[in-house]
Amino acid sequence: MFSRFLFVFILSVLIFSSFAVGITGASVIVASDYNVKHTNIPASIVYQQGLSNPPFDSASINSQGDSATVYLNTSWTSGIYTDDQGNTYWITTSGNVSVYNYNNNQFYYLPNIPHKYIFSPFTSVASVNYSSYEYTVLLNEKGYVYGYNGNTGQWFNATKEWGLTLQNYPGPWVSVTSNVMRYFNNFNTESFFFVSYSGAVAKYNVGNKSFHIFSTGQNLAIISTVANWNETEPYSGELYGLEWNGSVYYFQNKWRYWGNVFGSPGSGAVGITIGYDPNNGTQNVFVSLYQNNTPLYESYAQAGAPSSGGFFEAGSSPFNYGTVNGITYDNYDNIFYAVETNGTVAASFDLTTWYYLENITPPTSYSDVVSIAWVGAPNTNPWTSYAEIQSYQEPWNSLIFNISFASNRTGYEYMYSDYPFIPNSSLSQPVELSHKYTISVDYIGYPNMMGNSTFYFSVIFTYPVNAQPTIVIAYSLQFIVINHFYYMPVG
Amino acid sequence: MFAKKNSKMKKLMTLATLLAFIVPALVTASVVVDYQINFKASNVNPTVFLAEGPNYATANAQGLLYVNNTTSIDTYTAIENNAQVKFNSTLYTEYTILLNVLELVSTTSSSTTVWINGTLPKGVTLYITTSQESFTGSISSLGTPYNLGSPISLAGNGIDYITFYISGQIPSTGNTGSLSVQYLVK
Repeated sequence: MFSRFLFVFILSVLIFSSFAVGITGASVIVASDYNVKHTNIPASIVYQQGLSNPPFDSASINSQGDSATVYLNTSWTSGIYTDDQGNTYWITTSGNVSVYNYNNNQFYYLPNIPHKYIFSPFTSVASVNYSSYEYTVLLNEKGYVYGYNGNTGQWFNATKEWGLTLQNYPGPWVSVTSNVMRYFNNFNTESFFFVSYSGAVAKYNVGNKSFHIFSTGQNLAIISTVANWNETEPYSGELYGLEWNGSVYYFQNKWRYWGNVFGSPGSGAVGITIGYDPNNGTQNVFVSLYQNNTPLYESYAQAGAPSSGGFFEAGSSPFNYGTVNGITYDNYDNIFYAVETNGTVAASFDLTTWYYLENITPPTSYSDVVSIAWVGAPNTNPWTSYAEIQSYQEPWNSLIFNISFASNRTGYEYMYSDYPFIPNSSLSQPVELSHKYTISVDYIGYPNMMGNSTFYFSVIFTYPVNAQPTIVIAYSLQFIVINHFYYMPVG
Repeated sequence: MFAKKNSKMKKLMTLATLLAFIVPALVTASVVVDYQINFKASNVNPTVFLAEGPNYATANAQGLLYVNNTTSIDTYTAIENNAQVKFNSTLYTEYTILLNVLELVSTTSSSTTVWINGTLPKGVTLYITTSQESFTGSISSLGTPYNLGSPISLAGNGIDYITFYISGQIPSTGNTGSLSVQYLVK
């Protein structure tokens, strides 16, 4: 009897409580069409592409919604080449050209490339140097070629003036080299060779000004090339191409497999050149890996042989830190050069002792690459905002972000952070939403390491100001920082 | 004969007319009576109920939260069971946190087991804490989300605080949920 009473009691309590607060339950049945007020808080965050001095392919915001994404390109050293007069050129993706000549111990920069030529990252550099002409050309990812005429001291549009048509073929265009040589200059044969990632080859003969393109239809993954420069020797005129997986091909009407640096497909091969073996004087193929603490790989067979005969590690590593980008050989002075993405150049006669050039490419600073603005509804109640940035992936040491806040209200201009030197959440200042505020994000790229970098930048508003928050609103912007070519699958 | 027939017809028509009035009246009456029973029974204030929390007014003033049916119980602005709870957010937000905007109140000295039932819009998460929630810079500091329908142990004469986390930008349609409370006095 008691248990039955208890059951009824519990049931009644449960049922009771379910309706207990439903005092005006009828109004639930007759749903009223009430209106929610519009929010008084920031109407929106507007992400704007940077306005001042954007680097190529920079800050393209590809979405706007719960978060937006911005792609930021840093500038890094992307190519190195030595001509037959011992001039070594290395370039950044934004077109800065450094030149070093060992023989006369000269270092200098080429004049700045015209800004209108900078719209796609430069992937490679090569030069021909003859008594009547002296051309250094830069190839960009889209296949456009821009040249510097050493005799006139002027930049020119080689694509236009030479009638090149690389840009009409599938890219990316990854490498340019030339077949110049020290003692056997031949006016009619000195040429530039341009190679696309898939293996298309184009040749421009500087002497007779002829242009020919070979669309091989082969689906390779070439990232670096070198011409067998001594064209008077057997197998002369061959072009060698290197894949990231270590495979080496030579080109005779089409690409032919020559060997693999690792013996079988691996990863990380980034630069190829032909030079004299410092021990026996034979002319072999050398390959660099992108990893530091790695010596060059040398083919057992000489350049021009039917196959590589395999590769071995030659000498000592040129770099102990950073990312190796490429190598070249100075046939005039018999020097190997290797360059890192940050512009550090190492030189060696014997592949064992390395010397370093101090004039490395300075880090590139980009200002105002993205602006974030918000305008609030009229509201006299100030909020507090702060910004924080987080990295989910290495490398941390490649970038410094400067975050500055500005407003059209006097006294609210100062919000500034050097990331990562100021900890997250330390950047805070009251903001009144009836005014327009702008956040500018600058960054300085130190291209020390190739690697994918993703940063999340958040602006967080809390209300009320100077008190325990009642409301927290966060806006997010994702930065994807690009500091290497996408066809080099670092990781 | 004809007259008798006519008389039966009249009776039938009268009956039909009566039925036509009475039957709907009975149906209506049963709804009303049923409702009235509940209404009368609930005339006693519940001892556990949802109420507007310390930050409700701020969130409401900013247009972020609205509850459509409330009543006064003691000093509390109680939220009726099944009341609609409407959320709002601003454009392009990554998230919005409304701290301590509702509370769960017990006016009995006995501890109770409480269930919060109902629905929340997609993207809205409820947190319930025995003391006022605070934001310390990370979402994880909010603790473990509460799953609707899970039992809560509420202290006698205690107050638990409710915080909402809104992920992303909540759509203008489908931004309404409803909450109700069931409880068992121990």
